[in-house]
Amino acid sequence: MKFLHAADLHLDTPFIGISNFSKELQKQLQESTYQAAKKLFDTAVAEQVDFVILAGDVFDDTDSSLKAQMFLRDEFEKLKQAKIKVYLIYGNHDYYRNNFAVVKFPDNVTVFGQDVTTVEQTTKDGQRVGLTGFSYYKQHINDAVGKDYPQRGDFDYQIGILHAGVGDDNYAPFQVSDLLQKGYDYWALGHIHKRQILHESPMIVYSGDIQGRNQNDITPKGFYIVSVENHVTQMKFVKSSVYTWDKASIEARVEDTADSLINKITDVLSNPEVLLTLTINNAQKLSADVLKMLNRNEILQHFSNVQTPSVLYKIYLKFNDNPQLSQIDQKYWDEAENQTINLDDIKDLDSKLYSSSIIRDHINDPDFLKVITEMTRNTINQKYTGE
Amino acid sequence: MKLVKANIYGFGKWIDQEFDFAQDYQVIFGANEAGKTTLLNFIQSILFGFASARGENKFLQYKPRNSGKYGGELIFKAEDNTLWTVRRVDGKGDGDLTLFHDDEQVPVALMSEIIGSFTKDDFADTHVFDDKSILSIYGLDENKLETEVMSIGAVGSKEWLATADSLEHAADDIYKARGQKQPLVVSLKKYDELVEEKAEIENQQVAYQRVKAKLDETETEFNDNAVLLKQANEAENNLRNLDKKWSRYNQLQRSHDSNHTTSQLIQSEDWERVLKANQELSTLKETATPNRIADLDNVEKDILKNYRINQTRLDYVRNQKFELQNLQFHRDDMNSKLLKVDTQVDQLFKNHPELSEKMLPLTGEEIDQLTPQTGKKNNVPLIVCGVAVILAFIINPLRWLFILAAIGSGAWYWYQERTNRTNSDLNNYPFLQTKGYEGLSREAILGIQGTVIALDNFHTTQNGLIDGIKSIEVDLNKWRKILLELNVLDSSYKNDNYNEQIEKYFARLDQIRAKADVAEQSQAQTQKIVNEREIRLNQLNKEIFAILQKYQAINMNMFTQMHTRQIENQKTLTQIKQDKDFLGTDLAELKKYTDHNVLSEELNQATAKKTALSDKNNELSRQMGSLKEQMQQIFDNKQYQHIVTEMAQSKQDIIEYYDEWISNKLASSWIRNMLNIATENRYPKMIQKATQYFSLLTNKHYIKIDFRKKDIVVTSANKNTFDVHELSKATTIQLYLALRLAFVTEISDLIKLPILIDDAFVDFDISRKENVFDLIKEIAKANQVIYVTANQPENIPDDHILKMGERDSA
Repeated sequence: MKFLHAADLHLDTPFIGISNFSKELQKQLQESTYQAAKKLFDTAVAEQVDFVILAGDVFDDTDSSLKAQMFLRDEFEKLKQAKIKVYLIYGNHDYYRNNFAVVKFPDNVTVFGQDVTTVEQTTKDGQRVGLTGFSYYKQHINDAVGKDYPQRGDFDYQIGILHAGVGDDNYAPFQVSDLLQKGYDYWALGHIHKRQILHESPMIVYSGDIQGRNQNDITPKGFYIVSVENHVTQMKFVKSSVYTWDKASIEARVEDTADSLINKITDVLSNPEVLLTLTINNAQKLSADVLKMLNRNEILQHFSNVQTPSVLYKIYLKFNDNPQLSQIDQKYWDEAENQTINLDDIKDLDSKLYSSSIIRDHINDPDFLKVITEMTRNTINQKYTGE
Repeated sequence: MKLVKANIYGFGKWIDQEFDFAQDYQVIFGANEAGKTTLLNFIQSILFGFASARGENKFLQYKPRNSGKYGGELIFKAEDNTLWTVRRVDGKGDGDLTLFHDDEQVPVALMSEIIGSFTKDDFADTHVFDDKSILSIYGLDENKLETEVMSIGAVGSKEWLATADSLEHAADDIYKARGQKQPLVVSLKKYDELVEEKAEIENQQVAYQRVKAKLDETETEFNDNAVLLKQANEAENNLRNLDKKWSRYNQLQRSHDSNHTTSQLIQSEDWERVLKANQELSTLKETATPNRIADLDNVEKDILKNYRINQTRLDYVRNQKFELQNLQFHRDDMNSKLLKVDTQVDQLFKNHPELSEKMLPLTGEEIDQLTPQTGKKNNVPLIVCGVAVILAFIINPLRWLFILAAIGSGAWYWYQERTNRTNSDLNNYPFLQTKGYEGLSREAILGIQGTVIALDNFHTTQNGLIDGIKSIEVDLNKWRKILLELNVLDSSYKNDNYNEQIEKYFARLDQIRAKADVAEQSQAQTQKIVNEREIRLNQLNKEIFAILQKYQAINMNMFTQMHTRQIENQKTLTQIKQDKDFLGTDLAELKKYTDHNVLSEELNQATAKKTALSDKNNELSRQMGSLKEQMQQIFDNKQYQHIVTEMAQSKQDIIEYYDEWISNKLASSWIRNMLNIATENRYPKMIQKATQYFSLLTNKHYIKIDFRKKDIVVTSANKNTFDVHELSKATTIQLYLALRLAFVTEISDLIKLPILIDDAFVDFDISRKENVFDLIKEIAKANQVIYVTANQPENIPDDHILKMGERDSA
């Protein structure tokens, strides 16, 4: 038997910070989630899988998903012709609301409901497969629904479909051990966009999103073709992303001029279909003129006008510790860091800002403190250099 | 590290100069301009590099004017008693640096063994106490001074505090709690607006379903309506068809109403015959007397009759015709003569204006009376003269004689003339008045005599002619009477051209007489033709009558009417047939309507119904179009997509601005915290030292320094406590110095470089100056101090004093 595990299609994702790109590229990016999805369904047909699992967040926004729904209906119809079934759950992005599903999917599609349910399918090679899952009916689920999944049933192979985060309180938090307890053969997870295998035998897998959606959503994106033979599960990653977000860094040198910098940057823009976020390390070494050009986005502008295999998305300047900074006080720096960079203090810093859900969510992001510390350090370095 | 020796190759005023330094403290005493400050700058320059030749530090350049050498050496003694030699000479940038460790050249990177990670500025901020740094303190306001005091505790703390401030400003530029224009504030506001805008847009699916339901409903209604419309359309078309045929139907109806039965159909050959006969009949009637001889009319008859009565007299007249003509001729001739004479008379008068009608010819006697002498003689001399002249030309031999004769006779004639004129008086002749010569001269009277005689003759002729004409007129009048009597002349005829009238009369009479003869002859022939025609007429009448009788027609008129009716009937029948064919099956339908109004009414209703349905159809169709468009719009969702994208962008902006803001904020407070921690951490030892130094500097007036959170509090000897800003400026500076010295002492565990003091306490009074030396000795316990001053130091061992002037001269 063979199946396809994908999640987080996020059809209709808006792309931001791309207004500098050519109109054509902007259009391609806007269509990229569909292109990736098309690749996914085409692969399902080509690989003659028994079924396709879509583990949540198929739509980016359920307030406006007609185009996506119609697209899916057409694609599902093709799968139906190829005798491929679809098992779909809604996630936190496309949690089910009244009047949401306007377009009727063909009957090869099973959409899981609010309660954890198990369905059965017999594959072409005669395996009886149990599929257990549930859909979000609200945006946040604080219950550890994963724990509510039934123990393994009487199947040759059982798959848990779950849209959740490990220990993520808002999104049906779970621990790997919770899932292991159930005795399933495969956990098809969705929600986390970074592709990762949390556990092998049994497999607990985030397939990740199928198209990177922002500069932090790096590495090629895609889905897994999972084949099971003699109870051995084998996985094959298939790339579907039209464009891959990536990060790279170059080292600045004291002797760098705008031209030499452009040459260095051109060198790292060598991979086709990559949207590159570039960090220039040791920016403090650059001359004031070059820094000025960078800060005015002149270098970035230059690259939007020339053809390179990769597309330059953004340039970050990293100001590394300056030897001029007296090391004599390093211990005070370190002490002050602990005192200064403190989540509670940051939250309390400005109540108006913290009342914005965007900022609140941002602050509550696990990586926030790390990123902000880095930025702050960079700011100090830059400021000290600049002054 | 202790600085034990300075070896100057060339630096400012110093060339090839060596200085040895005591390892605890070295007081260098010299007058102004002795080179004390130059020496301190030499130490800094060798350690950290020469000042560049440009910019504001230019004055710190000490290139000697008298020597090509620039630079020198500093020799330090490390704690392990090894020697480090720092040599810096003129070169690129801040000079060429060479480092020796116990005479062995080592990489310059090992400079950190001596200076740690200190920069020139760091060193200047911590280890150098000079006018510049202290005087600048005097210029500060309270807050800045306080900050300055506060900033002691970390290396480069002044710059750090400035940096923290600028970061705070940068943060404020991005966001302020009560701000309006800052980008983060703007982005947050924009996002809220977008959320509101998005909320106003109906959920796409809901909208889609709503519109779809409406569309389905409308479509059903449209289809139902379309069926009804089709029916109504058909009904209307049927009725319109009937309505169009109504006139024919009506016609048919009327044809049926009239009676079309005919007693007996007129055979067409009968009709033809009657028509032909009638035609001939009327032709015959019209050309009734084609050959009849023209009869004499009454006038002609009267003329003929008159002739027959007056035949004798008329024939006479006819014979006398030429006589009459002669008479007329005569008269005309005389008339023309008379005219001629009149003309001559007129001519006379014209030629002789003096002539008058009254003038009568004078008798010979009367003439003689008027011309007594001259009448006989007057011409003789003239004639003699003339003859003599002629003879003179002809008869040559006697020419002279005749010429004389001519001259003689001429003279004679001239003499006579003269005499005549002088002897005349006309008033003596009364006859001149009676005969009409009044007013004329004698010569005129005599001259005109010929003319008067001619006039008189003309008058005579005129009278004769007038008499002749009158008698002829009388004759002609007689003739006129006769001619009138005989009707030859019409009384209306006024002229007297009787001859012509007579001829005319007889010409006509002859014509009439001839005509009368011919008429008599053709009378018989005409009678015959008339008879034949009568027979033919009877025949034709009979023929017509027979046919008319056959059809019981009283006369031809009636028969013609009958025939016309018959043709009309036939036409009607044909029409009926055509109408019936035309109406076809509609006939039955049409019969249902009593009259056209009913049909019209029904048609109007049907049309109205159809129009209503058609309108509804259009309206529904429009609605459907609009709904479909709405659906498409909902599907395309451009506005929504736009808002969603905007929101995503706005969200990203908010996060980016926030990150920038928070990192600036955090950076600022990180710096401040670092400074605070640094200050606080060094507190125990530093505060102890600072208190000691402060006490020394204030002559034991203050006995305690405390750090409280962010503030420094000092306690005076009499236990009063003061905040920094409550202290006098001088005291604050003493506190500043105390703290700085304490700080530099405190960090001596990290870096051991000599403290360079350049007359920093110049403004302090003597007692305090003594205290200064106490202070220096105190500091020197931990740090080497090199103190340059222009004041004579007291109580200082000689080996610790270097007198610049003396040594110089030595």
